[in-house]
Amino acid sequence: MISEELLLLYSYGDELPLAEQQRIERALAEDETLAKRYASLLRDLDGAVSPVGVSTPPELISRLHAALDDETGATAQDWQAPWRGFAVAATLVLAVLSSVIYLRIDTVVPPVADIAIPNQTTNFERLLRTHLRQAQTTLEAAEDQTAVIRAQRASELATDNRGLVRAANAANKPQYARLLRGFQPLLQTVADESASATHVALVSEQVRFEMRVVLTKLTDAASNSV
Amino acid sequence: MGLFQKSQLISAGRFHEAVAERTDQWFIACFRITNDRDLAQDAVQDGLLNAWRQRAKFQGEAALHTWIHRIVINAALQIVRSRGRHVWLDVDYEMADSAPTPEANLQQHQFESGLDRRLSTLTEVERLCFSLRHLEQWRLREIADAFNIKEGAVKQAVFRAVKKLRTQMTDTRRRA
Repeated sequence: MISEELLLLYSYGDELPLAEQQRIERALAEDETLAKRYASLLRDLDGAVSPVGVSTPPELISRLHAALDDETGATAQDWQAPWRGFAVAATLVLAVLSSVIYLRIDTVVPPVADIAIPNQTTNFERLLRTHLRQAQTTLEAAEDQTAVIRAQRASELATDNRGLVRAANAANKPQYARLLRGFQPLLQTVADESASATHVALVSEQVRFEMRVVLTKLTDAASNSV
Repeated sequence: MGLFQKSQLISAGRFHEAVAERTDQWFIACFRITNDRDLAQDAVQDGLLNAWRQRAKFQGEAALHTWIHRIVINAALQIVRSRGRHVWLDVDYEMADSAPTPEANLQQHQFESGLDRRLSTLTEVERLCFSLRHLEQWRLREIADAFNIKEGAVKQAVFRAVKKLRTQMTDTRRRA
């Protein structure tokens, strides 16, 4: 007797060992009742997943084109000529050296996040400052916690961050949306329980550093606007 | 990859073409996984941008949109994992008692207003495993690896999902 479960696995074509696959194939050819059961299974599966009245949000396609434009604006020219690769590498080396020097002499924060902050402080910028402050504190506190708690905190932050990306888009602040999207993969790495502790610590340090830079710029802009 | 090969990287234009042609499919696939319209949109965007950043890895073995599709699905799974890790920690418990929680009931209500009304009656684990295996053609082993659970648990979730779906279809036919 061939069970429904076995027939289902057979239908997928790549879940059973070859010998088992061939055994069922022979049985289907020889046994009409089994063949009917199999046909009925396939019919039910096809019918079970027919889409019902779903539509893609109309704004999604334009949002994707815009996000892609944001991203390619920064990177599309990177590989057009071979020397550009060396130029990028050299810039990275300089950036790392600058960071090391910065850490050693404890001077002002370098503007690593290339973002223009308007002098006029809006509700959104206030919200962003609160988010960045809380995120830094949470990530720092999470370093002393277990991997599970650290991942949970980072996961909550990633959710908040995602919400803020939406808020930035809604407030027509694409530069902040882009900036916050940049934090997302870093936060998700910190939220990954299976990632190594050393890697997570490095990424957490990186995201806190970048948040600190943005926060400094936002705070400066706020004081200038008073 | 050498410098000469880098000049052959896929252009932004081809990504834009893929967006114009395939966003509907990506969105529906992500919606089935996240069960949430906003999160599905986020997943599509995250996946698309991830694909762009990793475009040097595209080997051209599959169509570009198919390659992006896979990355978009991974972005949706990342969202699901970070949103509800408890779902997977409780997978053994759920195998013993698959009654939906109040939260799942709420999600089910939201899902019913979207697509695949029948899928809405499945638990989250069942829906994810069934969608990935049946609709996305992932192997059971791949699904198990993606969620760090046993292959047997995935298999059982798919079996339960199919059983529930078929029961519903039989009921519908009887009523008709």
